[in-house]
Amino acid sequence: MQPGLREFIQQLQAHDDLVVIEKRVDPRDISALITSSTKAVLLQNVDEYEYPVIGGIARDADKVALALGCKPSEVAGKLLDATQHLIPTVTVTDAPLKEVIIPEDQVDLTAIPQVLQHLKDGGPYIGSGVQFANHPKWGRDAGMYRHMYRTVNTMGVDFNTPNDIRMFYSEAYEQGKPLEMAVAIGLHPIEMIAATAPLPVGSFEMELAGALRGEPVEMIRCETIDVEVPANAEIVLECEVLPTGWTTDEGRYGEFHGIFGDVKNNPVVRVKTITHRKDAIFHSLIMPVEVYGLSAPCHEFQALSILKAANFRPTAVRSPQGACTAFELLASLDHPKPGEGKAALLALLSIFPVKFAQVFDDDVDIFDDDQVRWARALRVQADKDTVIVTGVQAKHVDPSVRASGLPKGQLPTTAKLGIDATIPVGIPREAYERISYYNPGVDPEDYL
Amino acid sequence: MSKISLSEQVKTRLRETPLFFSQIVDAFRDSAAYRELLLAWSDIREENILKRDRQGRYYIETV
Repeated sequence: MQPGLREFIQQLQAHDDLVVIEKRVDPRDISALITSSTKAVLLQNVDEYEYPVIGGIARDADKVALALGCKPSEVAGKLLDATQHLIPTVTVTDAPLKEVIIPEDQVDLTAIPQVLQHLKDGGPYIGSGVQFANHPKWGRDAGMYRHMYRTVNTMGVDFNTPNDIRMFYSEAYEQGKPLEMAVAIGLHPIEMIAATAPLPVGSFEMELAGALRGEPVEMIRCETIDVEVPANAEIVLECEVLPTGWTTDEGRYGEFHGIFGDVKNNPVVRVKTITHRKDAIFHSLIMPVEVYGLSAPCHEFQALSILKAANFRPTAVRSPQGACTAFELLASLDHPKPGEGKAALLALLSIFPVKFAQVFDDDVDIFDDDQVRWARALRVQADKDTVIVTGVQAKHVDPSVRASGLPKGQLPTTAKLGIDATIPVGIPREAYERISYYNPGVDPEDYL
Repeated sequence: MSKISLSEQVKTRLRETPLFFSQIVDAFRDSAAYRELLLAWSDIREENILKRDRQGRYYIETV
């Protein structure tokens, strides 16, 4: 069996990046405990549940880099390279995932840890699920969508954002049919990162996961729906998204940008079957702390891809957590020619939902905020080195775009800002020669 | 506490005042197991009587 969640938990422990709580935990305290540490948190004994619960496995760049087997600064490049060397999946016929099969008349979603994450959420949520669905024309697709607990055999799903599986459902709904969809819980971060990567429709995200692994992802057929899931999943919910349309209350939920989202109208998911390992571990992804680690690589590789496609020479890209790993991008360029700084800004600002972009020379470590500020302070003239673009596609959850005040059905737009902090044309690089301290080989230890 | 009576107690609260789900959890923390509350919530959901106010709190209209 391919390394999965439990092998990654061992890696985290070996890197001293895991807190293990052996004491019995009230299930209502799960969110508070997981968010109490910057390390991953494993709750071995949760009252009322047979599953240990893990959280925070991908909450920062270090954990994601550990999962991918590289340095944090190499993650975007590794993803970009993987997109160009996809590896098709293989199908296996047996896996520990099939050790327990719960038929439809025994499905009870309360038997799975239903974690109440935030104060104003509309209910407990499963946040770690990776969904799999098929389309007759577009083939297989994977994504990550949240699921709000509703009843013992139904849950919500947020299909308000125009993603691929939402499109699959929309077509099924128009035909009056349910969409078969599997929800895999307890995957390795590689599969989770791949599932959220902005691949074009028709590309199967698990082939990207295979490229990241260096070998095909092993998939296994579900029991009751015509969908395959990663064989190393801990738990799988085999579901139908009912053809009710966007009619049922779903939310509120503490969303990726750190703000409570509104109650939305969404479809209902009916769980037909549950399969799981005998000793399954439940992964509870708490929004937004853990999603930042997963989404930053995707935005960074997208930035790298666009800059390279436009023949720039990016040396690093960064999607900072403070801007929700979505709204801001920084990039450093190798000896940009006159005008390339601004051109690179336009390329970065074309990415949805980026609102702010900054470019630097490669003598600036863009992962060091002090260096970023230093370069901005000394290389920028606001009237020459900034770009503002208005009327661009916006993320509706950004309160500043005032989406709620728009006529029904109208999508919001936003204004974007770019700052060119590359060395201005005509100023020699030597003008920015950094201080180095005089030290004829002193070792402070000799004086202690 | 039986599941049915827990459902009725939750419904009574929601007829009195709108509540966030977390407030319902807090209200019954000492008297009901978490899964028991989730099962009761499932029963209430299936009655299709829950409404949401502008803040997203749940309530049940009194007849």
